[in-house]
Amino acid sequence: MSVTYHAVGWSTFKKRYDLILWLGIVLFLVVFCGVSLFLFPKVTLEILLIRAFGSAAFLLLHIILCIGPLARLHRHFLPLLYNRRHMGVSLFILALLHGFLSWITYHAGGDLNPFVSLIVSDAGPGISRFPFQIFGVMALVILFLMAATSHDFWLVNLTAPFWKAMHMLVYAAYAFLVVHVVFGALQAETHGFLTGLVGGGMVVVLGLHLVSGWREHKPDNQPLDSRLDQGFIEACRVADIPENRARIVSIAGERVAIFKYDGKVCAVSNVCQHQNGPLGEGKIVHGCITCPWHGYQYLPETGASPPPFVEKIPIFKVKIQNGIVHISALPEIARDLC
Amino acid sequence: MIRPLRIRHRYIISCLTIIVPAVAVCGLLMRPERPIMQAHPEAASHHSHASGEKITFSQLKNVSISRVGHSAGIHIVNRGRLTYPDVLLYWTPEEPTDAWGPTSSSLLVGLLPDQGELSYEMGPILTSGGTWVIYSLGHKKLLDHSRNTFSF
Repeated sequence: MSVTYHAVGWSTFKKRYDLILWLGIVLFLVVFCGVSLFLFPKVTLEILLIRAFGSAAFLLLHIILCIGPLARLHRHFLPLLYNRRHMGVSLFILALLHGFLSWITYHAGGDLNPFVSLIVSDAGPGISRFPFQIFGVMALVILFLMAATSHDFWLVNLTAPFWKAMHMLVYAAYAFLVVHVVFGALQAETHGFLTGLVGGGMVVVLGLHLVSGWREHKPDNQPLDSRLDQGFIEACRVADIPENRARIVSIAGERVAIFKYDGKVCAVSNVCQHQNGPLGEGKIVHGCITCPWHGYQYLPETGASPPPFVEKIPIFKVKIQNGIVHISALPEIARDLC
Repeated sequence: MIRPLRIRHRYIISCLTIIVPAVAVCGLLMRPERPIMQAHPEAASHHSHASGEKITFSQLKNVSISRVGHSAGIHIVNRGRLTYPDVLLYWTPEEPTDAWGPTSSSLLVGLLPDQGELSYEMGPILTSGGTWVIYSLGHKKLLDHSRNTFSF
């Protein structure tokens, strides 16, 4: 955290993340163009670029959609989660290049206004006239909205619940893009390899979300009454909590992060006040619970951010019996640090 | 994610799991059969079945049209590079002028190959006289023409 404003809070990690991201994108584009030129030597430059940017954008969308469930399934994928917004903006840039080149190539040379041509060129009866380009445009509009509002400025002004709900439109964009690809490129390119890639991508994305969702569904729906003992609930063993890190438990569907540090144990809400980031996946840095997403900090004893910041998170009473951590079922309001 | 978002997330994924694969399968199953330009069946053995009849052009000296055996097929050879876009071969019953353009009575045969060969099935029109026209659709310009002299 810092009291001075920076448009982007660059860190060494973020710089390295973006460098690897764009090296990966450039490498994909080079390999794609090389293989395409080998297989289709007569392909024109604009068609080659349209295919390369479109394929890169579609692949990147799959990677982005897989990061969330993978991070929930295994901690090793968490570093990919922390700078996912930069990946999303990169995806929008690739999709925009694909869309712009397609628009110029297929719609700018005729008698019709290029915008009108884009809308009416697929119109007509039959599946072969399915308006697949419109679905591509709708997905591009969603990606633009997400990229344009990815900055914290919009998160603060739109409020976290609205911002999160809006960014869930990425699933609509994914559905639109599957329709765009299946009713567009795959109508002419009938090779089983391409169909297999699109189908395999669908299985991976939806499968990972279903598996991670199923794993979270059970603790979310566990009744509270059966676990209560004088207002406290058995959470976990002290030995199971890594030093300066947390173990996340679920109480009536809400998550609580139980941290162990300097021989002490504390329990706080797992939800960061900044962007609802998972505090339990962060660690204690300089005596403060530090959110893994954007580095927001809270004092473990009080749940309040250190001055001059004013954010607060709910805290839970803790008692330890026979090496077992028990936490209160109801949270306390965070106490100000005076 | 907070609990309401997790619940909403689960509903979205459940819907997507049903809708997206269903739409994708529909799209693949209803994929139309597209016509593919294929070589004339006798084109591969063109030289062994050549009738000896050949039509050449005065301007485009690299282009020639020969008859495939005694069938109604023609074999077009272009040994040179095309310098105009969208070069097409037409058959027309009339004698074309420099300002000629495709009319309702003319027949579009197909693409003129660029440094290559192509074969087309013509049907009875092959021996009905008329004129072969090489025309650039992009420039709307007649590039060359030659009388059709194929006979029975």
